[in-house]
Amino acid sequence: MNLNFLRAFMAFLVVTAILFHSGLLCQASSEGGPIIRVQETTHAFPPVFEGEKLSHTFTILNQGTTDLNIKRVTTS
Amino acid sequence: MARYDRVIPPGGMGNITVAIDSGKVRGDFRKKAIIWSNDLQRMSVALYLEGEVIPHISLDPGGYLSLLGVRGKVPKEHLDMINNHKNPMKIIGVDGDLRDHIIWHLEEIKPGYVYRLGVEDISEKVGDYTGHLYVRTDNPLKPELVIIINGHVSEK
Repeated sequence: MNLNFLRAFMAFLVVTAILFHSGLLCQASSEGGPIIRVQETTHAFPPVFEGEKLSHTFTILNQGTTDLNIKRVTTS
Repeated sequence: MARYDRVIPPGGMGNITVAIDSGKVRGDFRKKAIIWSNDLQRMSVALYLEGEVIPHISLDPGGYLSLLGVRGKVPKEHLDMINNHKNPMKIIGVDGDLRDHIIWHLEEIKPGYVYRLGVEDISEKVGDYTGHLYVRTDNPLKPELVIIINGHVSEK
């Protein structure tokens, strides 16, 4: 009895490890989460003289089912 | 620098505004902004801004001149100041802080657009010196250019 339980538990662990490694579990959790979409990832400015202000606004879409939290934006 | 909406609801839209200080950039540039979010499948997204920043006045070959040589025989050097605007530009004056070491003269190559600043060493003593020439223009966006002068005068 204990041996069968141990085998079943080991099989569960192996299957869980395989699913996690393949990303299936992550995907499953993301399907119920936020999904970020950016239509434009590159913006080209026309030539400008030094000192002119350069600014562009990108639009971000959330195609998921829960809030999309923007944690931070880093620039370089 | 970036401003952005912290939370975007399901099915909603948000904005990320990225600004660049073009006073600190010259020539072609490509800047990157990375968005970090709680989307487990795509936790970071890279955005790019490209363009070209043109100086009001270009200095060719650069913003400095080096006068190197034997006392009394130091080769003259020059640089060109090129107006990149459509409207003509005037050079109002040139001042410097190396009057014991150099003399300078201004030449109009293409009036209103290209000026040549020539510099000549007149040092009576050997040694090194560093200073500046201040070129004043009538362009309100670039009223002054600072040219760095380095000198190395040897005995032989």
